[in-house]
This record gives sequence, C-alpha cells and structure tokens, in this order.
Amino acid sequence: MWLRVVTRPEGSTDGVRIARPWIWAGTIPLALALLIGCASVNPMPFQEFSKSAQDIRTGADKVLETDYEMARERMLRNAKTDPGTAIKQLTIDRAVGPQGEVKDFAWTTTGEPLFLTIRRYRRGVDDFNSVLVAYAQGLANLAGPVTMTNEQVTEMASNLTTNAKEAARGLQLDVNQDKLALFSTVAVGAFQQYLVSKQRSDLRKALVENQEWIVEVSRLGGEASKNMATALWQEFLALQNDMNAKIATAGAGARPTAIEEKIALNEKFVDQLEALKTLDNAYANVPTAHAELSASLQAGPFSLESIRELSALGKRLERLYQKLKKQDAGGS
Amino acid sequence: MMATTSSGEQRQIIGQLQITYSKGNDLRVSLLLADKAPDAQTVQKKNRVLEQQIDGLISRLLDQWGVDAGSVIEDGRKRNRQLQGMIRDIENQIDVANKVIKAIGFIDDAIATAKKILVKLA
Repeated sequence: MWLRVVTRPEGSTDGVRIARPWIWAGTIPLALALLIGCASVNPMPFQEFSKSAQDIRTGADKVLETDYEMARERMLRNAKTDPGTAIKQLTIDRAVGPQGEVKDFAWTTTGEPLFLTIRRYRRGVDDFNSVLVAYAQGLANLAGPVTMTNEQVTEMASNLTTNAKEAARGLQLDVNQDKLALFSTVAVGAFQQYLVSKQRSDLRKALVENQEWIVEVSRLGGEASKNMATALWQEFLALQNDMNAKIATAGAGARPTAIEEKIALNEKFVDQLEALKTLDNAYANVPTAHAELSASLQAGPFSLESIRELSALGKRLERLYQKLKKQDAGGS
Repeated sequence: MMATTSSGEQRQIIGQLQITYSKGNDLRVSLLLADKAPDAQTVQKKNRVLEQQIDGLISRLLDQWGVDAGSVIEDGRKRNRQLQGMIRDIENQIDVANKVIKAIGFIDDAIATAKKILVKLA
C-alpha cells in the first residue's frame, strides 16, 4: 500500500497558519471615525460585489464541510474491514529532521487519511476567500459614505498581500508571487490619493492598478474549486461503490431501501457538484466584475452585467448551500 | 529534464484513475450478480488498493509531479476502454474466467501507474 510521511513543522498544528483576514475586515467599520461624504460614487455595484464575495466564501465552505464528512465516514467504513490501514493512517509519531535529530514539537504520520487533507484544505480555502471578502468589503467602505485613513489603507494592502500568499501556500496552489505582491506595490498610493481627493478618477485608477492582482486571485480560486471537485468525486465514487454492491447483494425485500439511499446520494452529489461549478463560474466572473467597478467610475455609460451575473451566482450558491444544509439535517 | 505536470493534467490523470476505479466496481457488481462472489471479492480488494493510491495523489495534487502527462492520460483512456470491453463480455457470459483475470490486470496497471507517480513524489 501507499505510504507517505507527512511532517508538520514545529509550532504548526495543522499546516495552515495565517492571520485571519476576517478579523481585520471586521475591525475596519468600527475603526472608521471619519465620516466623509462621497456622493459622486454609486456604492451599489461595490456592495453587490462585496455581498457576492461573502456568498462565495460561505458556499465553498459548505461544500468542503460535506466533503470532509464524507471522507471521514469513508475512513470509518473502511476500517471495519481493514483496521491495519486505519491504524497506520491515524498513528502520530515523533518527527525527525534531515540530520536524524528528533524535533521537539513537530509530528509526523504515514499515509495521512484524505479527510485530514480536506480539513486543512477547507481552512485554506476559507482563508483564501476571506482575502477576497476583505478586499471587496474594503472597496465597499471606500465607495460608501464612510472612508478610511491612510494607515488603514496601508494595513489593508499589507494584510491582503500576506494573507493571499499564505492562503495560496496552504492550498498548495502554484502562486505567481509577483502578481500577488502587486497590491501593495502599486495600489496603495492610488487609494491614498483617492482618500485625499475623493475624486472618482483616483478610485478608478486604484482599481485598474489592482486588476492584475484580482485576476491572479480569481485564477487561484478556480484552481481550488477544481481540486475540490476532484476530492469530492473520490468520496462519491467510494460511497457509490459500496451502495451498488449493497443493491446487488440485498434480498428482494431490502433492495428498495438500498435503492432509495442511492437515489438520495445521487441527488446530494449532483447538488454538491453544481455548487462547485457555480463557485468556479463565480471565480471566473470576478475579474470582469472588478473591471466593471472601475468602469462604473467613468463618465458616460457603463455595463454592470458581470456584477449582476456574479451576484446571481452568489445567490445560487446561497440557495445550494441552504439545500445541502437541509439534506445534511435530514441525514441524507 | 522532464517538464512539470500542470494542475489540469494532474486532475486528468486522477480522473482517469477514478474511472478505472469506478469500472472496477462495475466489474465487482457484475460478478456479484453473476454469483461469482470470490472473484468479486478479489476485485474489491484490488479496488481498495487503487482507492488508497488515488487518495494519495489527491493529497499531492499541485505538488511538482514531473510526469509525462500525455502518455499517462492516453494509457488511462486506453485502459478504461479495454476494461469496459471486459465488463461487457463478463455481463454477456463470454469467456468469463479469462476476462476476469484480464480485467484485474487492468486494475493492477492503474495501481502501478499511481504508485509510480507517488514514488517520484516521495
């Protein structure tokens, strides 16, 4: 059988350590003492963008929660017939460094069960999406009736860059460091200029300068959603395999119940997959929606089609999330 | 030096292995329905090993794989087509004993493919 040594660094409990951006995002509105009018900016598209980012985060977390539960149940199911593998997967040992030295706080396992990987991934995805939420919330604040200080904008840039990189690393995503660093290097000045001038053109300039950053964030989100689908398929196929064998071997009396269970599994899986597809579409829509935010600050006509599309995808995710929650509560 | 394997190619490789895994179960169910429980159990055991290998690959998704993805994916497609043919013959009671052995061989191929990638990553 396949064995992999998974070693966690000292001081790490689960492999993903990150300053959680939502804490920072939540403090901004409270810290805003200055209330400066900004009548020239229409806040609606920015609020829609911000709400959609929140829906993306919630939807992704729900899908990974159900995936985690399925993977954990599979391990327990398999352990009934194969206790040896379960014991190996769950045994934690002392970690040893490259020179053979025993590490004080690090630990190691052989062949980490997939549900633990998914648990880490879930945390990483949430952190990653929180970066998008924090950015969108920051924009909504800037476009709204309240404003931010220079220090808060600098802190926002620094947190977004650090957290995006950390979250992407936690997800094992192939990060373009230069693109993710763009936020802090070019956009801060433009945002600060906007704070002074309150001119739409300055806010627009800041958004345009962030476009490449948002494209990279969107690309990484798309990768994460496709990886989530691969992990979800694995859980579905394993459960399907067991259920099909159960249907094949069940007596005539027990067969309808076994088939009902399979139908329920299919329905839940189709919803989960639909949620991931919606999430993938939403990520793909983010750069265009972001570009429309910039365009909305220009004189003359502009389209909000992608923002509306993103908002619709967010609402769809929310509906699927509620449905999955109900299915879980119903035990299917 | 071998080029690195893109994340899309990695997902394709895993997807082909998942199809083999799923077909392995189709085979198991066909054997159960044909009243060949011992053969079904053999297939189930092989499939469980394949399941663990795929779990390992999913855990390593987006590590630097460095495999010739094109040939691995093409081999996977070919394997799955042939495996499907074996399952069809077994369902139609054509040369069942021989086809079961061959079908199990395809699952072994999938296990070997996954192991080879995991050894490279170790």
